[in-house]
Amino acid sequence: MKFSEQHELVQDFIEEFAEKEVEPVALSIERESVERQLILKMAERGYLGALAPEELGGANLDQVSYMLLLELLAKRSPSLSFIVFMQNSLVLNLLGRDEMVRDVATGKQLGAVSLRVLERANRAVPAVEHGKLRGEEELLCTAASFIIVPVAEGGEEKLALLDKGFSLRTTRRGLGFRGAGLGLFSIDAEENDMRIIGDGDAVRRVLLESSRHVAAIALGIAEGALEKAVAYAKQRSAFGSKLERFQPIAFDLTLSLSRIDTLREYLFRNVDGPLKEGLAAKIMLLDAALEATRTAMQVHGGNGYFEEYGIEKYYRDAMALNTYTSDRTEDMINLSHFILGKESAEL
Amino acid sequence: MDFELDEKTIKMKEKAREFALTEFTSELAELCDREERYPDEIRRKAYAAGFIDMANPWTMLVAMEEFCRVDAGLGVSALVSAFGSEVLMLYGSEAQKKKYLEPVLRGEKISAFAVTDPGAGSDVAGVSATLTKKGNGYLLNGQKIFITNGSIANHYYLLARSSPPGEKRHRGLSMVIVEADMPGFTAVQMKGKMGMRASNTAELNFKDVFIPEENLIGEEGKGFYYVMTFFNISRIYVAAQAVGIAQGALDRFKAYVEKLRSEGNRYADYESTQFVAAELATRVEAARMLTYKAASRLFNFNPDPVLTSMAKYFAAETAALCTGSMLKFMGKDGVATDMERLYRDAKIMEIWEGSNEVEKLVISRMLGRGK
Repeated sequence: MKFSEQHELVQDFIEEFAEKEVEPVALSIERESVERQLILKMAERGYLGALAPEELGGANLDQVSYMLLLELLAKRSPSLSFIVFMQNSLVLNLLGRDEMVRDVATGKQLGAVSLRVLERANRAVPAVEHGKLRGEEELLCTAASFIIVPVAEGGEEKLALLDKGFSLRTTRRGLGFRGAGLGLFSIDAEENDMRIIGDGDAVRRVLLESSRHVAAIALGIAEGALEKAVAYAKQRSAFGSKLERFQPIAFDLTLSLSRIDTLREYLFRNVDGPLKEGLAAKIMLLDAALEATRTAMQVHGGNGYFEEYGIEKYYRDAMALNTYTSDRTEDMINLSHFILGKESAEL
Repeated sequence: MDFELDEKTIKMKEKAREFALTEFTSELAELCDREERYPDEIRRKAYAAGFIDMANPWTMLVAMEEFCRVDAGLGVSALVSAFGSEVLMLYGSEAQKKKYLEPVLRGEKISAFAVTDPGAGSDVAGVSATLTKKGNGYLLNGQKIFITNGSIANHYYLLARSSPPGEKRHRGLSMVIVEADMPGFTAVQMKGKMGMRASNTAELNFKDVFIPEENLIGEEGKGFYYVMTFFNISRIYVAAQAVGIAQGALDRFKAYVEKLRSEGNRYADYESTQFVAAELATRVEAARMLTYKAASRLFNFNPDPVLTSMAKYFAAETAALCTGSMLKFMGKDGVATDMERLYRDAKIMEIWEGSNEVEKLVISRMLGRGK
């Protein structure tokens, strides 16, 4: 990929941060979640307010720079990349020009957005009754000091922001993004504590608009896993030869790497292009990440199954990214409509 | 040709399903997964209920399938307490059978099979643990990793090098019985597995462990062949684990689609949804048939290593693919359930007891030999 000089600089700058500040703690992020110190360092560099305007404390990065950020963080720590995605693509996008943006950009506050729109099976939405809001919500990002959740009020679903009236009840060891933390939050708030910031479909829209961002995380996950697998194949021997000398392993790795390379070109070639391309990139890269992490795990054999080799997290996170950012059927219907027309993909 | 299990086995299969549905509570499965805890109480109950019965391999096989269908970590843990003991049944002396095999078959003791070295997994003949002649026995030195039952077993059937490599690469290996309380032996549980976390896995270390010569299994220099013979047995059980996992994923998927249908959700009737089920159900059935065919050859004393490796490879891949496609379809609804655990558990099927690549090696090397 040929980037502009400015983007090359951004890339080097982020890569240096990822190598120096993230890689050494990547395993502890998985085991014990992200340290506050690292969150602040990211805020200092503008990563938490990457897309926010400067007058609200943001770094005002362009799309390419932001996607490079997601990709390069995901390559070392998908959890960290997901936190940045959650703050920028979801929280800040939903907040618009709200003053709270400044708190997020400076690392003073972290937000967590409910991804309930991706659920199909019915589950009770927190509801307003007699001036009180009650319910529960599972959210990724247990360190959140404010939450954005759907609420039911008078038969209508809206999106509400709460900065009090909720508490973390239990945490669960989820499939992926363990560094972000998965928690069940109880909501018991006064009606006045909540601020309506959008309609019931806002998160769905924001997720669709963030297709390229999701694709960038998937790309980073695949690259991180494959980089480790290549290093392993060059160093580990079996049957008297380095693994890379065996065709089945070499073919799988090179095909995966080539696929990722091609998709990276596709993703970055026109980042302000039509949504259709963003969605196509998201779907293809989500699949490519599953495939690449599967190959990377298989190359590692039994060692890869243990967390200390730092490879199994990519396998889990590739699937977690699928489940926390995509309703595959809906994404495919949308893509079919873009490509074949509105009559398609009904049955 | 008859593709059905016999009536007795069908009954045991149903009984095994009932046992798993009753005993493998979601609380226990979650606890053992979270804390990497071996469910010894489940093993005892499974033994008492007659599922660990080496005289009736079909019982063990269908129990393995049905147990793993409900929960793979608990299922495997419940049934592999006699792991490796087939080697003693086949090659052990009468004294060894009495001392080591019988207590295991009575459910009183746990055995483990120790082959993998840090430097040699798939490449079995590459093991570097050594047996050096000393007096009327051997001194054992070296290390083993990824040993199932490793830190809970009472004794181990272990492969080590008894004569230097070189031209005797395969014929320089021997199997011995090592007791857990022999001086110089230590076992440490290996933590941090992605899945199959109820199952105990350990690293073993040996420093001048004295092994009396009566603990040599069979003949010196034949260890590699005993291990290969054992893999032809154990791989069938792993295939059954994988079939169980894949079937378990299909069960959960079908229940999920039913739930959507009952809520009037249009996703239930989308053809793309239906095809996920159709494709995977087909694969599961094919994997099961292959597994049963390989098992029937083995249990009728006419094993076919090609068929065994085909079954193990195909079933393992099916387990990993099925849990993956179904979880991907179920998305956020799926990741909130035990489908995510099944997905993590499934991956080990493609790695342990011979990776997919090793199975393909076996298949391709033996295909040309005719039957």
